[in-house]
Amino acid sequence: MHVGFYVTGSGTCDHRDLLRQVERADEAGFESVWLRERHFHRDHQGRNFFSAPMVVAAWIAARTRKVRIGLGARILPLDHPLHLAEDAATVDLLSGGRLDVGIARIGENQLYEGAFGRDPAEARSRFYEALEVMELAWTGEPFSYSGKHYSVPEVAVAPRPVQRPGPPVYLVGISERTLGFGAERGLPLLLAGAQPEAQVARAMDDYRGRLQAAGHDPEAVPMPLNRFVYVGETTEQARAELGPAIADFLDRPASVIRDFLGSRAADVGEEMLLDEVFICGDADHCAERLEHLRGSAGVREVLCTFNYFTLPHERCLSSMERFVEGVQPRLQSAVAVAEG
Amino acid sequence: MGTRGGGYEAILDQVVRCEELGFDTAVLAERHFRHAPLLYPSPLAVAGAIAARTERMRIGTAGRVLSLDHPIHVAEAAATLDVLSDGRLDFGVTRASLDEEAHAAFSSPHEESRGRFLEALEIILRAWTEDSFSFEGEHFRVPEVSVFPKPVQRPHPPLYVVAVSPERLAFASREGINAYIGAIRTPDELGEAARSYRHGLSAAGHDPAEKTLSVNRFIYVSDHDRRAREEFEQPFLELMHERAPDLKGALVAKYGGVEELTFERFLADFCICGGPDTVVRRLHEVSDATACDYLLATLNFATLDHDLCLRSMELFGAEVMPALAPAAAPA
Repeated sequence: MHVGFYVTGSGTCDHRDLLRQVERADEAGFESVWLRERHFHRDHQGRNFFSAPMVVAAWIAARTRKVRIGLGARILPLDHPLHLAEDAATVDLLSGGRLDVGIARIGENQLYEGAFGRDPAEARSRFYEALEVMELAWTGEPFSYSGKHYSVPEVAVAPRPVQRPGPPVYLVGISERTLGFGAERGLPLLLAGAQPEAQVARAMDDYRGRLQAAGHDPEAVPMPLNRFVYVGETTEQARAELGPAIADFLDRPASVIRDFLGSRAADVGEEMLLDEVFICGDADHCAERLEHLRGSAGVREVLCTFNYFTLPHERCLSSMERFVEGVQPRLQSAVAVAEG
Repeated sequence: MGTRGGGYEAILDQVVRCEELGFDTAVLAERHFRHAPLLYPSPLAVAGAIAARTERMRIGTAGRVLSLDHPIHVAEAAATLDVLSDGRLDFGVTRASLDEEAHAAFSSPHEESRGRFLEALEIILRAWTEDSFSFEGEHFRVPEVSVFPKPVQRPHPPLYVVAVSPERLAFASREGINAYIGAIRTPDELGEAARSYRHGLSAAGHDPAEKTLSVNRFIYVSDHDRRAREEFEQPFLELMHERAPDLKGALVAKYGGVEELTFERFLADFCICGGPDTVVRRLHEVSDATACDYLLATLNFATLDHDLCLRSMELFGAEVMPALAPAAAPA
């Protein structure tokens, strides 16, 4: 199984802690680190780490050597697609071709559209147009574009990305139409961390079916799955250590939980989260759970989140270290067997 | 600016070496499309990489083109850089791009750039300094919002305006903003601009001693004058004539014809090329004329080989900088 690190950032860690975790992920042989885009949040000691993910990605590019750098995801309608293309090409060059660009149609709430002067009703058509313009820009060839939202007179965009035709594009979305659009184009799909396992399996099957129907080979399209992971000394300790963070999370308003989990708040409890959403336990338990996901849902790539909710930074780091020592080698040797 | 055939890696190497040589600041311009191979369409991304590779040096933009982008994106990206660099950002802004192409591509008409610039600057400063704010303008409307991160430097990173036109310089002095003045003015013209800037500051109630005026020069240093010219004349002519159409346009307008754009003319007016002694003497002419102590030295050129550029930087650091007033920065 391929293993990446999805950075979210827990309440108590600041930007330096997050950067250290990223550097550690590179050293420890994680294949990718992923950042999100998040606006108007006080997180990370008032130093929200994710409002300008391209700047952070450039920093990471300069401090790491091997790890791929993913944006999971840029919210396309909020920025001009030529800026998106230029920023991505710049980071692709700075990283020697290690950028993956996740794309999303909407952010957390409609304040995003309001603040950036966008009409939420236009999000979908802007999303489609922006992707088209961005991909034309990455060719480096002169092009012009005339759409409903963007009109670009003939222009050639520089610099060109290192990767050709451009950095790989990953779809982040759950709506029917967005999934249909992604499958039509054969886009890799990044699956969010909060879905219960049964739902993950259904979502992956559904997307494979759509890919197949659109004439793409589902086996050839990456579908990385984000999971919240906590590795403790023993499974009992892990559950006890993660418990308070989960309790805090459950105290949030119901709508947040429902949106986050895509399921009814009444169905969500600590047991259910620990059993079906989180990968929480000792190293053996976590490795088995992840291997089970490969068998039951066909997961071949998992993006682990170690830092979330109100987990203290030290706990995040020790969980990550236990993962590196006890879980990662088992998953990665399984890749070697499967591919050997 | 990059060097001939060099990519971003070469630029980062140059900046790292400049920090070792004692330069104070690395400054990045913003240009798009046909100019992007020379400069940076995403200066804050490049700045993010510089922040990761340097420890002490300040990092400047000269400048972010405010009329081409949404000001909240600009405020977030610049504040993020200030956070990642532990407060090393000098935030330079400019009203418009020199070329029409960028304004057309971003659907931001040149004639609106004045209004957009003023609104964007206000939004950025409020996003950085106010817990939450809303804004109603002609070009931007922002509902009540709290923008994060806030910059590390308080109340905000030092602000600079790229003052290409007399009007922009008057704006900078009226508002009490630091200014970059630039690259194709003669020492006498720079002196006049400096006097006018300081006069304007005083007239608006600002203390000129508290504001920074930075002078940009194209500089090439070699062992001695003859060798410097042999190495630099062709690359510099190529840059001015073939690679920078907007600069060329400004030069033709200034001198009255393309046949006037000779290396002798450039040397006499705004390009400093020679052995260390000559370069020091020519820079003293500039500092005498302007009373400026912040030189923005353009030492790397898209038409110059990386090794020549690095040698020129080394000589500048070792033999020119010690003979100058405190501050110097590569652009």
